[in-house]
Amino acid sequence: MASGRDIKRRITSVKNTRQITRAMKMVAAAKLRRAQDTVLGSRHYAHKIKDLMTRLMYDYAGAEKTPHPLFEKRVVKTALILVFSSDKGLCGAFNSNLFKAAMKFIQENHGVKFHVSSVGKKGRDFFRRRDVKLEKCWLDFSSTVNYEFSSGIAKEVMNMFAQGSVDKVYILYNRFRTVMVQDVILEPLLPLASEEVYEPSGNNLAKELLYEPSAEEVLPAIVDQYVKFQVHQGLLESWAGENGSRMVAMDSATRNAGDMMARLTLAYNRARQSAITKELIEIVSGADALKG
Amino acid sequence: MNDKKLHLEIMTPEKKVVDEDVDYVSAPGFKGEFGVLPGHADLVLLLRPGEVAVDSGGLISYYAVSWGYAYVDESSVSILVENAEKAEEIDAERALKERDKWENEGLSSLSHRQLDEELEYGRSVSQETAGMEEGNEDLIKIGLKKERAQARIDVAARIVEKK
Repeated sequence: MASGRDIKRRITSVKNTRQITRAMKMVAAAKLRRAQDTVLGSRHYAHKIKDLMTRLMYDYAGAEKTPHPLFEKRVVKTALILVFSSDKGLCGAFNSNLFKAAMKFIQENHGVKFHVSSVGKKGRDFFRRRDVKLEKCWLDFSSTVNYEFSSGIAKEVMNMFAQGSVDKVYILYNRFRTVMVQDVILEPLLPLASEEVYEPSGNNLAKELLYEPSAEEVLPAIVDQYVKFQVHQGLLESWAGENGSRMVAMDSATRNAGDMMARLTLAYNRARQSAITKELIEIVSGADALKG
Repeated sequence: MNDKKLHLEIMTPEKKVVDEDVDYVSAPGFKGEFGVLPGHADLVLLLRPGEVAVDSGGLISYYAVSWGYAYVDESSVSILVENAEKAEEIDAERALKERDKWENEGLSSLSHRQLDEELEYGRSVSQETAGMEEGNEDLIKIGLKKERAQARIDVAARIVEKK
């Protein structure tokens, strides 16, 4: 049995750990609240712009000439996966779920050469050791979760696609469902050609869509905005998910540390008690021996 | 008045600013003011920073919006912009300062006229994905910001007028 001093030392160490995990939980909770507000607020916008885009894609599905470079469907030889991971660890299975999904997807499509761009250090570290080509990564982003940042990423990605260095772009992120649950989402971003059939709401299928001032001017603006916003939404979802995941992980770590402390304290008291008993016996028997 | 209504939504990435049934919406299109009544043909409209006026049962309210676009169909208008504020909520003084700031920034590198031209040019190309020079883009951004501040001032002034 461990001596009292050893146990005491362990208790102190667990106590320190608990303090840290508790602080991290608080920080994550505060960040989560902010992230959650933003992500829920922006979903309307994301849906609307997606609606509009789906309609545009549908309109142009039959066109002989692609209306915009980003609509161009090519034979997929190389594909880019844009991964939204985290910079820091200690957030449960947040990152590993992503990577598992990515590796599975890469294995399923072995005819394709995959490139990976990562937002967050964890993604870069993981894919650096894998058989994929690592493209530009964005690190230390936690203080810059804003639209400007996502626009920069989107621009880079659009450039890569437009220049032909990749034929298809996917985004991979954790979609924030609840604090406890995030869904891993892997969806195609470019080219802008819908794979599912557009279901027009109501009777606007037959109607032609007008553009003002003109299609040539409106389309690039919307396409640009759409791609940027998809990236932005991915980032927001992932950011909220990361903090939710971290909060949950740190909450259970705090609780576990508490349990551990209770167990160790019990063991410590037992050890102390038996030490005292032993000492008493020694004293008593020592006294007896002297008397005798 | 028509008994049909338009469902108007004004949305920014942060939140939904407006979500209601109205009679008439006017929006700042790039080629000028653009009015929408119920039963309009399906349309996508590019917006410049400016003023959105909404008529709901004779009650008119104003919003300052930044650039974006509007998606119109028979019974609804969705305005997707980066920023939108109700006239009553605008801090006119701050808007004024902001405009001057952007104006100065724009002027320090270009003359006023040039800036306007850049802006005009920027409109047609600003959204092309590739081949944009960074400096150019900054100028357009400044120009758009200036326009936006101006729009906020104008919209804020509406309230004063009404009073």
